[in-house]
Amino acid sequence: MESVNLVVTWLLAIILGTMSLVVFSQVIYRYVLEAPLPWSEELARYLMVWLVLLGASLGLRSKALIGMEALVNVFPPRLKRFSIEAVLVFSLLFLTVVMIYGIKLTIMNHSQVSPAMAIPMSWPYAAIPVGALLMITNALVVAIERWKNN
Amino acid sequence: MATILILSLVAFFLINLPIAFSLGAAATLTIILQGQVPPTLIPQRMFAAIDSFPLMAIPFFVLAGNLMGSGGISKRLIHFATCLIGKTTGGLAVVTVATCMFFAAISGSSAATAAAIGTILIPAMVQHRYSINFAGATVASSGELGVIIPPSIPMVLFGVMAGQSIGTMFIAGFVPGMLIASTLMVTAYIISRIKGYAGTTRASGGETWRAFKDSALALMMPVIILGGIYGGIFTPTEAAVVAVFYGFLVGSIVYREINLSNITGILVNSAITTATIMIIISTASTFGWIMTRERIPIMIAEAFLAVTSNPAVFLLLVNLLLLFIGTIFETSAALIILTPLLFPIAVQLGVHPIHFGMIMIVNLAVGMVTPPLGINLFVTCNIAKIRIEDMAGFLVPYLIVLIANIFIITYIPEITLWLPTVLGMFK
Repeated sequence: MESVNLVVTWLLAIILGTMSLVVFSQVIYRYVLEAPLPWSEELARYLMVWLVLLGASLGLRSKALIGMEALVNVFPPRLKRFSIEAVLVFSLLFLTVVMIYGIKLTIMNHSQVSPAMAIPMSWPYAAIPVGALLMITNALVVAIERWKNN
Repeated sequence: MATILILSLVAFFLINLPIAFSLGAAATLTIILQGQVPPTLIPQRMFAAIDSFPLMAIPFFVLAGNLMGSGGISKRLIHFATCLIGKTTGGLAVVTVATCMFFAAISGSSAATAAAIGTILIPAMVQHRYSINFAGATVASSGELGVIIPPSIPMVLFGVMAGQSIGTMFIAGFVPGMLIASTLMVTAYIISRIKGYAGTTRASGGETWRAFKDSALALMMPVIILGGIYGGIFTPTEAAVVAVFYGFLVGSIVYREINLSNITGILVNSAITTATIMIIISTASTFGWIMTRERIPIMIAEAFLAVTSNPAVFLLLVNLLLLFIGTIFETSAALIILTPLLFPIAVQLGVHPIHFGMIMIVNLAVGMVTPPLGINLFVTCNIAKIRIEDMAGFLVPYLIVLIANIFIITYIPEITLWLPTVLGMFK
């Protein structure tokens, strides 16, 4: 899984770099060359959707996803341990639903094309199930690491 | 169904399920139990919420701030501020507030501001025989300016959630930011006076000029951002991307501190920071959709209006609620959840939309400096290697000042609305 995460890490850098270049050229084309690019905004938006879903999977791996830690820290130890496992179960359940229906949504939209670039809408939508799958695996990796340490 | 939605959300929050998953899981549970809406709506709303050009200001401002931070800008800003005002009593503490103010104009986040400034100024203050607890408390409190002085990520979020102009929010944040910064400086000065913390030696005119030239490129950034937006040249997202390129050029060519070996790390960190905020926006959208379908916003509005229809009393209740929520919730998350609930009531009672946004942000920002979940406290404690309890004594005066500022900003709308009005931004 760590090699997959390494690929995702590189993808994130490439996506954010590309987004910056695309939107910056949009600014240049509109204000300097006075010839607005028709596809730049759409491309940047779809890249951002991928950025968020892929980035969240690494956020989950590095435990950077924000929760409400205030209360769980004052729980008695047994309840706290129970909470940690419950968090895993509910995360997996939710992400599985997102993945299954995300696949459905992606297939449903495959024949649709995007307004500006005319690419199949399944490309941007696929970010949701792929992101969910990566989050599921990373949640499991974090859990296995925890079980080993106990 | 409304009960299931709310109770499951609260339960998920309590066990520390990440906020993004709590919102999504509560919505999913309700949708599946109810069986009236196809569950493809869940990913559909998640996608639609983040497929947004205005929200793209968030990754770009995060990236611009990180480029500037790694580009060695903090130490140049600190040097300039020290030359300017370091010689007064409590010089370095006053410099801390001033640099946080400058840095806030580059970065859109409070934790980043506290980290960038604290890493350099906490050791410097300790070296000049300031109490480390006072140093920590000063950095944590001034870090708050990060989200109040534009650009500001919470302002982008509020603008998008409430359908208000992000540019106007930015301009409106300027005067409240100055007010908070100046009162924090006075507080730092008074405490230093009592404790007998001396200033640094006076800088010569030539040294000050060199320090100014050194940091001028950084100080230009807010001028480009705000000037570009105000002049109608850029949208906030475009201004943010211009800031990214400016920060990159200054950091790589002029200061030579950004290179091929650290640029990847800067991009990846910015991407993950962005994702942790925006994944909440994504699932909150599914949650918001089902919440609206269950008519919960209307019920909450009716409950509020049953208590009072007086705007002043309403704002007092909102302040208390937000201060409380701010202590246990992360600022962006609280803003994403509460804006759709509170904003319509405020507008109905005649509170100006931009003023209400500012009230929400200054309230939630104080939550970053209060235990148990004050992100600025964690950041500074981490740098100073102290515990939150240690600096509590010094935090109290700062918190009193910050809360006093909230009430001033709440009950004198002109502080927020004057500048955008003068600049003709309300048409």
